[in-house]
Amino acid sequence: MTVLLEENAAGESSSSPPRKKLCLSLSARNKLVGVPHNKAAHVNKNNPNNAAGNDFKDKYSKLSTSSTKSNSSSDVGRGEKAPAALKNSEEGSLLSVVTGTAMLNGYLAGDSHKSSTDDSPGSDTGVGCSPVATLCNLGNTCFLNSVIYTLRFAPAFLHNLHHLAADLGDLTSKQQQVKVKSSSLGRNVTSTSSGKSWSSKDLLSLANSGDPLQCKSRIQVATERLHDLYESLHSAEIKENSDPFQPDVFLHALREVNPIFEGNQQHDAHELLVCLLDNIRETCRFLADQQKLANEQHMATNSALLCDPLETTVNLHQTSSSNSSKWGVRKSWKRKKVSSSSQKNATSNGLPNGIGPEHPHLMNGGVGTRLSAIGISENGQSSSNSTCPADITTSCKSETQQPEKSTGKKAGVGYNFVTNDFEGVTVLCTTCLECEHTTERKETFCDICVPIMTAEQDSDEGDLPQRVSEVYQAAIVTSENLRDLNKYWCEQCLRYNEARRSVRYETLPKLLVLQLKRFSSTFGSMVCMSKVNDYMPTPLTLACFCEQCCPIAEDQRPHRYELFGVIMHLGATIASGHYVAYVKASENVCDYYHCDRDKRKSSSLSSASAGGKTGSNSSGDKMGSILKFFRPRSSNSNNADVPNKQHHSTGNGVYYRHTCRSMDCCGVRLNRSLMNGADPTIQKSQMNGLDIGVSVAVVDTSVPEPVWLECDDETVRLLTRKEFEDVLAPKPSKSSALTPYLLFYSKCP
Amino acid sequence: MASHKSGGQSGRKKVQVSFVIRDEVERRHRAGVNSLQYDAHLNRLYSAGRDSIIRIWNCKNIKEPYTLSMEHHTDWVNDIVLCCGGKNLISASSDTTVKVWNAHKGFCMSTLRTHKDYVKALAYARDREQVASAGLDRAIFLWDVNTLTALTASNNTVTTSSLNGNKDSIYSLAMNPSGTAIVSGSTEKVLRVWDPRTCAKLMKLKGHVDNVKALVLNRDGTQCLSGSSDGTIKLWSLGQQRCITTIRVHDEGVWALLTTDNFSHVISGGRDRKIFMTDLRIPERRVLICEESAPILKMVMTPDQGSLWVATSESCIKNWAIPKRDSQLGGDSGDEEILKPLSLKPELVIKGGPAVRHYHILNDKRHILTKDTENNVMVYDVLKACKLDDLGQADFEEEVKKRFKMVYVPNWFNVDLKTGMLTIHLGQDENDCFSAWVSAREAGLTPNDSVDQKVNYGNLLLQALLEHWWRPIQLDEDTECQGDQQGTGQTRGGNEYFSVPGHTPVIFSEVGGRTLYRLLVRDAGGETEGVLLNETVPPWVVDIVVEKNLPKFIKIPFYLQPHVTSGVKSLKKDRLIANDFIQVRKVAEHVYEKVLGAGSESGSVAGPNSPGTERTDPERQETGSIAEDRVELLCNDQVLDYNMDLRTVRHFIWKSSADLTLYYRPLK
Repeated sequence: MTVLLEENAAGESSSSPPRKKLCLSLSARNKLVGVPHNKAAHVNKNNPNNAAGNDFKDKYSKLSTSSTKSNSSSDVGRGEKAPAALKNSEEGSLLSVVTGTAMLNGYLAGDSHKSSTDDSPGSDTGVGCSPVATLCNLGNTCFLNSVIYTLRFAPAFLHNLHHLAADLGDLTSKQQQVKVKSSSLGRNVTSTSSGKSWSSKDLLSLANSGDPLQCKSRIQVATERLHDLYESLHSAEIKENSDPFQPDVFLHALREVNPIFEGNQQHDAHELLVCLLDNIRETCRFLADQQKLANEQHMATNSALLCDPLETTVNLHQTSSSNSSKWGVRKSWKRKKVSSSSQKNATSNGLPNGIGPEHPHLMNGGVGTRLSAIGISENGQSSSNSTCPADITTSCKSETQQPEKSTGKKAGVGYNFVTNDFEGVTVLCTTCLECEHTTERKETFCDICVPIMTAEQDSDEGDLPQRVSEVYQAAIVTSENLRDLNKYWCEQCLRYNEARRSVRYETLPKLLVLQLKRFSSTFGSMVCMSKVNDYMPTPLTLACFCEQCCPIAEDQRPHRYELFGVIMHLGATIASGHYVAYVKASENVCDYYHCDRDKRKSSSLSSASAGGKTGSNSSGDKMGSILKFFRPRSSNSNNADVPNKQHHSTGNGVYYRHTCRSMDCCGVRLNRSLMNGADPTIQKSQMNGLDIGVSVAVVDTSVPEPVWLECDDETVRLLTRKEFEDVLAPKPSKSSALTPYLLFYSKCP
Repeated sequence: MASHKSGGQSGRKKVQVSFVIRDEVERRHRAGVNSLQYDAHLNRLYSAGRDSIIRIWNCKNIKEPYTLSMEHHTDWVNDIVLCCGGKNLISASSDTTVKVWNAHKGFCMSTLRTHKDYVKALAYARDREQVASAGLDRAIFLWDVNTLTALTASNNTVTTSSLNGNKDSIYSLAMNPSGTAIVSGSTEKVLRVWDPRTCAKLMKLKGHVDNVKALVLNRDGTQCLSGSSDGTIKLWSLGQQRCITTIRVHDEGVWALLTTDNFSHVISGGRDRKIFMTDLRIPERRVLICEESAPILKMVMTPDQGSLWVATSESCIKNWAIPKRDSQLGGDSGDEEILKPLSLKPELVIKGGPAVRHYHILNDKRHILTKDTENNVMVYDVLKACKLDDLGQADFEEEVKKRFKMVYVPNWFNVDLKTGMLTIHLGQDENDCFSAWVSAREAGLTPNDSVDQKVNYGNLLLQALLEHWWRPIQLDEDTECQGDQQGTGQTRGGNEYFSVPGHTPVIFSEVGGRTLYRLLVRDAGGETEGVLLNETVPPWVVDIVVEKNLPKFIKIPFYLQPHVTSGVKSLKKDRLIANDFIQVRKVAEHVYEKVLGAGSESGSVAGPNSPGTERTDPERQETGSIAEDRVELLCNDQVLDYNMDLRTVRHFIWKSSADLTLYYRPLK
């Protein structure tokens, strides 16, 4: 990368410091020397009022288009943008300069990256210059892009997200159906003959004047937009469209939920990750509550006619965690129900909304509803007082009882995969040294903040994996003595005594996120945070340090963690910087096998032809209908896209393994041409020479050589394992100022 | 978690004043017993208590064993050793001091202040009359007892050598009688051995995986026994510098060890409350002597080796029989047997007293309800430093509720229960001890019909505690007048309302740290005491007690506005300030006179800013009562009682930390 930058510097006519309106990823290249500068934005992209910006944008898109035509690696795209961005004002000369340097840079870049790109044949041949779909920087949004890239390759994440979105879509459509059925206002609600099912809907229609979308919480919307985003990336890969995708729809939805991300400021990737996971977790909980509600309603309808509406009402209330004001509509309905039930039973039973009918004119309706108690309950569930948690908890420390509540059965509706995959339990243990009484406090966590321990530098390059794991274990599983002026107040001894306080990890999650504590507060004349740039090794394999594993020798521990993603921060200070994500390229096909939740949705999905299609969920995929007509080019003979069923070829015979269709909706689809040689599945099948006209995916039992992707906004390039290790090494051969910030591990086995 | 902070950075630390509310003689331990020593000649048992008192028991008279209390420490006494054939006693305490006592008479001879943190352990080399002390400050000091006992007020310097090298807090120490080896056990888990004659480091013994709290050396210093919080007992050979045997008889930490003369058997006790005797040569042969009622802290054997006295974290001390060595040792049949204790009842019991475990300060910030380990509920008066009532086995919560009063007095003291007795610390910083201004009448200090005077609790109490203190520097009065003769109406010290019991200990200490001086109230008049007091008493106390300056009033700022329903329109929001103890009726008066413009304007109508005394001006009273009929005051839409004072209103009704806002409303 250094070389590339130098090239660029040579290519520019001016060596002025990059101006504010620069694209993040580009400016990163110019910033190598560590000059802190503000990452400016492609503000223009989002601001249609800026005429100059528009011009620039047009040129930019032209440039990127032109770059796809040239047969060079993705570096070209990178290279050409740099001068373009710098010369913001000189748009006239832009194109020529760019084109000129584009080719030059392309080849030069190829030279400079000979070691890395030579191996990947995709750099010179094949269409599409990027191994995966890329994301565009919308203005200091590298924090967003890096997290999106990383999560995309997190095991099981896309799959689970898809089902979450699908279930949400189901829910919405059911709600819509209910609405559709309800008829005009003013229907006589007291008629009992048809009152059973109609009256409540009348109430619904009375109460609910908007469309279902209005009822969705912003969190829900944000989660759905995230799924849409991944869908779009998938589509881009199918179409082999290498235009960087603009995640602005998602960003907007995110900003609705978390206003801190408004504006074009730089943000902390960790903060975003926490927000994202929180949103998804809340959505899962909401769904689980809805499902529970539905189940209860279902049970209620099945039971005797004299079922107590009070009971169901109570259930409804119990499942709603918070009443946000924008649910005014709902609330009123809920209140009315309470009043009806409280009329029936004089005693109050602590229902949260208490007494008093909200809509006096519906009193008659109240009578009606009471009579058709079951009716209410049956239809209540769809338009029910759905939980709408308005508060965002950015901290991941949730109550421990929540996970149990919302988990439900493993892969049901509302399966909280954030809780299941990302959460672990830490135990804080304090022992008074006098009475030796121990107090424990358990907490759940989504990520671990690891202090930077300046490890002793070994003479030989590359620590043994064991030693590196020890460094992490020592930093994470800690214990301290409370003594001197910092003694511990012991409740048993009723005095201050010395104590030992230790942090242990009872359970570690399937997906372990480590945040390196790269910020430290220094107290000078004023408190300021400074970035810690010290080297901390990033092991590709990390030994598990859960309570079970700690006493066992490292090589015999039952669990271990494999790195699948790193988000690195480039920058000398905390105030400004750039994020780059490194992910292990994988389609995670195993995630999609044997999925219980894959159900055919007759209404929403496009026809499942063996040809190319993208699955779409009920919320609608803009591309779906269009792409139906496209067939992806089959690059190599054996590499058609992946339909639902996959052949598993063994020596004995061929059988089908069912794969979840979500893979075709939002799964990762690596650009085979670029992956050639690196992707073992391709290789194996080539070697086997099987050509049976359908795609073949051989499940390789040996450990494949992993390939890594360096995702720097719209630039994604391949790295071999060695190259990646190089990046991670303390003195990387291309001395970049990238420091690992967030490490993502997945548990094996 | 609260942290144990000390005030001040440099040497200038704030001095805190505390005292203990207790009986004159506390015949029984009021909390656990940390250490024991047995005087074979006199058959006396010395016990070091967590209530800061060392007691002497006559073991020949078990019905009434209590002999004497040695009181000078202000915190847990962690360890004691008897020296010079029983003449002297050395004690180590969590108040960071080591004290030298005359064991026969029971008085403190000198105090050593070299340690900076709790002193946890002592070791004694009988043949050389050398004592070592060690503690949480990682330091070990060696003392020559003869030098220590020869200290006087004039000849009060002693040199000590220290042993270096400890990396962690030391919890145990042992020396052999000849003083050739000393071993320390700490949270470092490693035993460190020195030669005390040369202070040379000898070796480190590794093996334990947790804190080491008990150590014994054999006679010639060749072998060492250690008991650790990891539950094991290890026998070490110092010659070979390794562990010879590991004995696992306990489930929890081993906190006390004892060996027989010939180092043949070890008696061990700890957190699991069991006392085992194990044969050191054949560790499988062990016997469960007894099961105590609380974790065992220390054990000593009687001279005939037939029984042992056991100190636990409960206050009573029991004597258990030791089985004859050869017989009764089980363990041959297998290790899975559940051992039954040989003794189910102790031979002798020295009864202990209850320790106060819970307290509740009532809203008047003068009375405290306590509950102790025997579930007795008591009522104490902090101001007068005495116990008011013993409610017996009452329901603590109920009694607290019964005594609820809607009154607010600022916090002016803290309560400390570490000794099992009520220690009161006069507040500093946040809990300013001079913040409690109270009406003397309401406090019951003056008869009801007298002029109401406002008194300050902290002020009164300090004056009472130092009542007998005469500052020799003040020469304007009769300087020959000694402390005890103050009855002749010439009392200089004290307050005009009450006295505190003379036996009340007064303690001056650094905030959150070391004790500087302790004395009894009645002894403050003595010459030496006076000198020490002159050195120790901090200026803020001198100001009150000697200069007799009154502390400042606490003022409350508040806003006064017409209530929305009052119909009175006022554009400005009056911001007033008043003493926190003034009553609502005064504000009503102010409203009536100043704001509504009614009432007499004669002369100096006292506004809310007047100091304590209420005018008995009949005109004033008339105005006052008129005001109550004409104006009412509200806060948070609640009509206020005229008798309530501002601080009570702020605390109970306003409840916010924003400035108090009162509203007035003319009554029709």
